[in-house]
Amino acid sequence: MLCRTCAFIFKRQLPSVVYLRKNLSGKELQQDERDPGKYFFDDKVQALMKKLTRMDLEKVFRIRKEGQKLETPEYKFMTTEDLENEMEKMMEKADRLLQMPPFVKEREEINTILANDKHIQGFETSKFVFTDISYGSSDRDRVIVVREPNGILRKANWEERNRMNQIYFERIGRKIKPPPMFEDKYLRDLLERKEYVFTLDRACIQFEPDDRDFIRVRNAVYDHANENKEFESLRSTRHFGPLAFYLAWKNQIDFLLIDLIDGDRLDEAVSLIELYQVLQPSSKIAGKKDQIKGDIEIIKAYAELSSLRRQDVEMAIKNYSQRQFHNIGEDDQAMAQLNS
Amino acid sequence: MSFRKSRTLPSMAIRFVRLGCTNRPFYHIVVMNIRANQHEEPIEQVGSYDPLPNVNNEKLVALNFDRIRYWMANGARFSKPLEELLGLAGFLPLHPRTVLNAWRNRLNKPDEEGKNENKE
Repeated sequence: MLCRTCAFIFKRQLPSVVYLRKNLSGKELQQDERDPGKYFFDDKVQALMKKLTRMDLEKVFRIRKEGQKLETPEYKFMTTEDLENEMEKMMEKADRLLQMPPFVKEREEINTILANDKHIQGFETSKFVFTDISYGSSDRDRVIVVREPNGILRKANWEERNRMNQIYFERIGRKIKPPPMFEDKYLRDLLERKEYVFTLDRACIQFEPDDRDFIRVRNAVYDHANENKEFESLRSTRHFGPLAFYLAWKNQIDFLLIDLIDGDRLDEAVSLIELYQVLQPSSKIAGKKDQIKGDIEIIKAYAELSSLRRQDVEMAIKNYSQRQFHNIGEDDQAMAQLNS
Repeated sequence: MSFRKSRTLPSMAIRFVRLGCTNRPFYHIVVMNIRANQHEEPIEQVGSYDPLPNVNNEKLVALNFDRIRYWMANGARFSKPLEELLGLAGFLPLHPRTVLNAWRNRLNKPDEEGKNENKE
């Protein structure tokens, strides 16, 4: 009951602190502190990311070496209708498997002091952590408080909360102490071996999406993949959408764009630029959304107005049009031979 | 009849049960008949308490406050050690014994200045 009163008082005081911080921070900081979550959950952005993921059923239902027992495939005779139904079901399943881990802002630290009882200073040499295990509360809103040896009663910070939630409400696959693979030393080794999907999947199990460690690991993986132009291993996994989102957010979509053009996927390249326009509303290309028509024209406009590697992008387009030209030429020749 | 009834002790207690083994105590926090032996079957378990600090120097307590409130309303009485713990959790007022112990600890382990004073 004491707790509740204190919490109420602090809740009332909190907004003023937030307001103060907002006003103190400069304009540049505010630009950097935009909440990506607002954009990420937008339907249009989701659709664009889904398109960029390029769902490949072979890859989605690939056999993963996760230590599970492998089952022998089952063969069945089916009518066309049954087959269509089955395919529909599998498409739904694939959609579920490709659900993207949220790209959100880092959560704020918890620094709430509920009571400061100085007269019990030194009652113990260790901390007490109290967890409310009542039914019906989620890991996020569960009440967890800490009594320090100096008499301070405070809300548990995120690190303590993670540990307590894992101790009393276990999640399969998650460890109480994060495994060393997420430490910089070992993470670097993983990245050099290009274990992107493994690292990201493990991070998704271990951390919450707004955890500082998750954001650090995710950004490190995406940066490494981008610098080494290793998009193929991430494609058609649930991490490709957030990768595109991250690159557009950080204004670094050039490598991915060139990769798409080189793979003759102009429609996806245009989607990527569209994503860029949504996420960078202050960029030059964003203003000219509806004026330009034609895939190549849009890409050219992007290269001209907003790209940081203009020459490379233009070179890729040039190569693409040459390839198209040759292909058409070959087709014509083939047609001519057929006709004759 | 009513006079007699009011004089009867509460029938339920919320208390610790010592589990674990030799030199390694671990407690369940249970609701049980006030006169029953601790190792008899409880009415309900409402929490646990690990009195040995872990690597992070924390003693872990889990409490189901919903059920504790419910049993409180049904007239269950807390044992003294549990009352202390709930006081520390901010659920009940701080127990006098916690304050007393803190005071004693401070007397027994005075800081540097205090030591010097004692010697002199």
